[in-house]
Amino acid sequence: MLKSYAGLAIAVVITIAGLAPLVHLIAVVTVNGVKAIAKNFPGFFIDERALPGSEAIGGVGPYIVGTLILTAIASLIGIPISILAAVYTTQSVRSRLGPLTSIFVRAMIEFPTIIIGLSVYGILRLLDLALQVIGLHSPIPRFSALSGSIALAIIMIPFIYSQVEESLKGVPMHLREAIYSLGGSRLVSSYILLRYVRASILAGIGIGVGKAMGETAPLLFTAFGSEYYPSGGLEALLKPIGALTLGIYTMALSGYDNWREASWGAAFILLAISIALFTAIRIISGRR
Amino acid sequence: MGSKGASIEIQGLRVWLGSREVIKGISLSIPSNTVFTVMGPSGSGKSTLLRAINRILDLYPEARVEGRVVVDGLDIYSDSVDPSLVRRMIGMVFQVPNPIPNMSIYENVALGPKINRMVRSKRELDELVRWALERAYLWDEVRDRLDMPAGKLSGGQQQRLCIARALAMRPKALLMDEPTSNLDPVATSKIESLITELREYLTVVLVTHNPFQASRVSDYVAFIYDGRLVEVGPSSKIFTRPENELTEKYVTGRLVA
Repeated sequence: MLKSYAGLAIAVVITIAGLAPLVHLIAVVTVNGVKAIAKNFPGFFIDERALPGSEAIGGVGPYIVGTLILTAIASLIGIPISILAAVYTTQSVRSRLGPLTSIFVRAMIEFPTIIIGLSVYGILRLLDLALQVIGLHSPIPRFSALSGSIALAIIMIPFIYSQVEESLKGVPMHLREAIYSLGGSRLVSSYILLRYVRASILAGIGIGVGKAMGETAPLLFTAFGSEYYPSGGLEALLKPIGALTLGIYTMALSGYDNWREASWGAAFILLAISIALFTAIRIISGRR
Repeated sequence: MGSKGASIEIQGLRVWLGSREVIKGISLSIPSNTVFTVMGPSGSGKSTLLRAINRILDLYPEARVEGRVVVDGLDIYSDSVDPSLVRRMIGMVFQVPNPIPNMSIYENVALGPKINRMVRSKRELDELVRWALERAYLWDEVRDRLDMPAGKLSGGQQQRLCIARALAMRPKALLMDEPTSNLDPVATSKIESLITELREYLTVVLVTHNPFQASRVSDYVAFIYDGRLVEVGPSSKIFTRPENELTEKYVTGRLVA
C-alpha cells in the first residue's frame, strides 16, 4: 500500500518536473508576447520593424509573410518528395536501393541544420561557378527565398518520410494483398495504400512542416533575412526574405529594448502558428 | 452473363521462401470452368502454390519461383508479362476477410473496376457493383446501406463482399485461399453453395485443409503434402478410390501430420 503511494508520488513529481519547463516556456512567451503585441495592435502583425532604439515597438509583418512563403514553398517541394520516396522504399520489394535510401534519409534527421543551410549555399555557389564558364548565372541566387525554401524542404523531408514509411510498413500483409490482387499497377496500389494511412501521413506532414517553420540556422546562409515585405511578384523569390525565426534571432540579440520586446511578440506568433498547425492536423486526422 | 473461364497449366513449379523450398516441383492441369481444389495439411505449401498463380507472391521479397504457369496460353512468368495484368485476370479471395475497412461497401466492390478503367459511366459502375453483389449472395443484405463502412459487416458478409470485389473485375479465374476457415457453419455453407455456382462463368481454384469441404464443392481435387503433389483426379475418385495411401489417410482423417 505504502509502496504504491510512494510510486504514485514519484510518478507525479517526475511528470510535473517534466512538464514544468514546457509550461514555463509557453507562459513566459505568451505573457511577454501578448504585452508586446498589445503595444501596437493590430499594427504589430502588419508594420515593418521599428528603428533601433526608438520608442516605437514596430511590427513583424514582413517576417510573418516570409515564414509563410518559405514554409509553403518548402512544403511544395518537400512533401511530394518525402511521400514518393517512402512509396519507393516500401513498395519496391526487391530493390537494393530502397533500404539504402531509407537509411540515408533517416540519417538526415541527425544532420546539424546549419550544415544543411551551408551545403545549399555551397551547392548553389558551385553551380554558379560552373555556369559562369559558359557565361551564365545560377538560376537560384544563394541568398533568396527559393534557396531558403530548399534548405527547409531538406529539413522537412526525413520527418515526413519516416512517418509515411512507418505507416506504409504497418499496413497488414492481408490488406496489401487485397489491394494488389485488384490488378492495379504499383503506383495505383500505392495510392490506395496512402489513402488508407492518410491520418498518419497528415500527422507526419504536421511534424515536418512545424519543424521546418521553427528553424533558424538553415536560413542564415540561404534566405538571409530582410526587414521589408517581399515585392516584385515572383521575382521576390529570388531575393533575400525575412522569417520570424531570423527576426527573433536578430532582434533578441540586439542591444535595443524596443527590438528585444518585439522579438517576444514574434516568438509568441511563431508559437501560436505551430500550435494552430498541430491542432488543425489533429482535428483533420482524427476525422474519418 | 455466362462466360468462359481460364484453363491453368502449372508445369514443374518450384517456389522458395528464403532458403526453404516450399513447392518442390508440382505440375497440374486445371480445366476451365471447374472447381479445382488443392487440399493438404497446414504447411504443405497450398497457399504458396495458390499465390504463384496470380503472382501475388511478387509482394514477398523472399520468394523465388521456378517453372511455368500458363493461363489461357499466357506464360505469366515470362518477362514481357505485367504482373498487374495477371492479377486483373485472376481474382483472389483470402483466408482473412480483408475488405478495405475505411471504404464503404460500394467503394470496395467498385475499386477493381475503377482501377482497371472497366466502366465508362457511373450507371455502368452501379450495375456492375450490383451484379457482383448479387453473384456473391450479398445484395439483398446490403442494398440499403451501400455507403456503410465495409468494416462494420459481419465476418461472413465481409468474406462475401471480398468475393464480390473479386468478381466485379470479371476475372477468368478466382483463387480462394481457405475462404471459410474463419467463418461459422452458416456463413460457410453460404459460401460453399456460392462456389459451386461460380464455375458457370469462371474457373475456381480453392485451397482448403478440410477434406469434407473439398468433397462438397469440387470437380477435381489435388492432394499435396510437403510441397509435392501426391495425387490428383476427379473429386469422386479421390474420395472413394484414392490410389495413394497418404491420400486415403488424409481424406478419412487418419493422417497425423
